[in-house]
Amino acid sequence: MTVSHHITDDLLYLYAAGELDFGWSLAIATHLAMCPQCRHRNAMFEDVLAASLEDEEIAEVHTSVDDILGMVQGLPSLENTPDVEVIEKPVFPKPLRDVAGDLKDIKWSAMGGGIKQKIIHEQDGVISRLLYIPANKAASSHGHNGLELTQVVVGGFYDGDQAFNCGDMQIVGHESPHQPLAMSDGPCICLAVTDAPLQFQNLLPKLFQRAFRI
Amino acid sequence: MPELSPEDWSLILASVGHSQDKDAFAKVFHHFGPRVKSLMLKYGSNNELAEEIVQETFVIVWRKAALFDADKAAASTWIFTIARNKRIDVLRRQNRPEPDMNDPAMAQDPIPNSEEFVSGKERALAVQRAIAKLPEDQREVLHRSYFSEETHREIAKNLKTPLGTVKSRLRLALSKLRTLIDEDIGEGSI
Ligand SMILES: [Zn+2]
Repeated sequence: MTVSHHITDDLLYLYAAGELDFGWSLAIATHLAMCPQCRHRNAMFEDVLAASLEDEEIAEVHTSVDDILGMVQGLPSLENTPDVEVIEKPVFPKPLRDVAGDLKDIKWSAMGGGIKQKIIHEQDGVISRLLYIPANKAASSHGHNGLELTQVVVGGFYDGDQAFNCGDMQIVGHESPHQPLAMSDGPCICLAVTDAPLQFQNLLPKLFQRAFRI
Repeated sequence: MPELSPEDWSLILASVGHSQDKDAFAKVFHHFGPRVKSLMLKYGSNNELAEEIVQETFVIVWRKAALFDADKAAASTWIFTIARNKRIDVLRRQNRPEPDMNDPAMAQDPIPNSEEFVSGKERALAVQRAIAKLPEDQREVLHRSYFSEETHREIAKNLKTPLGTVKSRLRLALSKLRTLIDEDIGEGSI
């Protein structure tokens, strides 16, 4: 699987900084699970952000090291244990499974023409949904007023003259209506994250709005 | 205490892990605690919340220290990611979606080619050298841009940056950084 449509630098940097709302982070984490290249870039961005810890600026901490050692007393060490034996390799990557379960667990809602969807998370106007598009079918054309991140988790689709294969992320701003057409070799399943329409003209202020609503 | 290098810090943190070394932990806490707190204040937390995030961060540092691998990450990066996640946890009562290295559904990393492979440690050092060479304003964009509404307004005011151009400045700073890193450890390494 070669991923060819990646997360843009600005989105990935905001993710690395921990500034994106849950839905956007979910799409990005799912992409990262499927894309070693972006994982590498993410690790570098974490290095960049962490370098600010080496700045001169320090603040006074009132907690003592003994306070911390008191707090950890009796707490077990945290080990990095793999999930209990996996009998069958899951289809969805872990960040997506944590929210939706695996593919076999999804209770789809039919939308006509064999197309199905399932809303898996909704918060502050950011909606995460799974879309199922049968081979050779097109989802209805839609424009939107915010941002849409579409992460392909199974199969692939065409949109205009571009191909999005398994692992690819499509990033669409408010200006472009689009119509994903599933490839012919099987159904396409995507995680699509969108925000509520009509609030902002620009992609970026919207993102900032989301990022800073804490 | 004499100035310690990032590599020294990685070794000290590693010894917290293998030998539950409380003195080593105290050193790590005294160095990074005030820095984590300063960062959380910059990110827009108030003093009380920043203190809470510091406490929770170092509880995790102690409990997870055995998982720290000095070849894979710099101590500062490892601590930063814990503090970042604690901040999300404390503020939003939410876990941050992240890929899990033990996930059987994860796309595997390509086998490191011995000639070109750059370890996490080397990468972090190259990043630190490159950041030191960045012009001041670009360093500001990388370290202060996205942290809180207040900070953001401040950036717009201090750097005279209208909101919409921050994105292009961020991209510019990252591409400049990448050029510096390529010159340092070889093109395409990162
Ligand atoms: Zn990617």
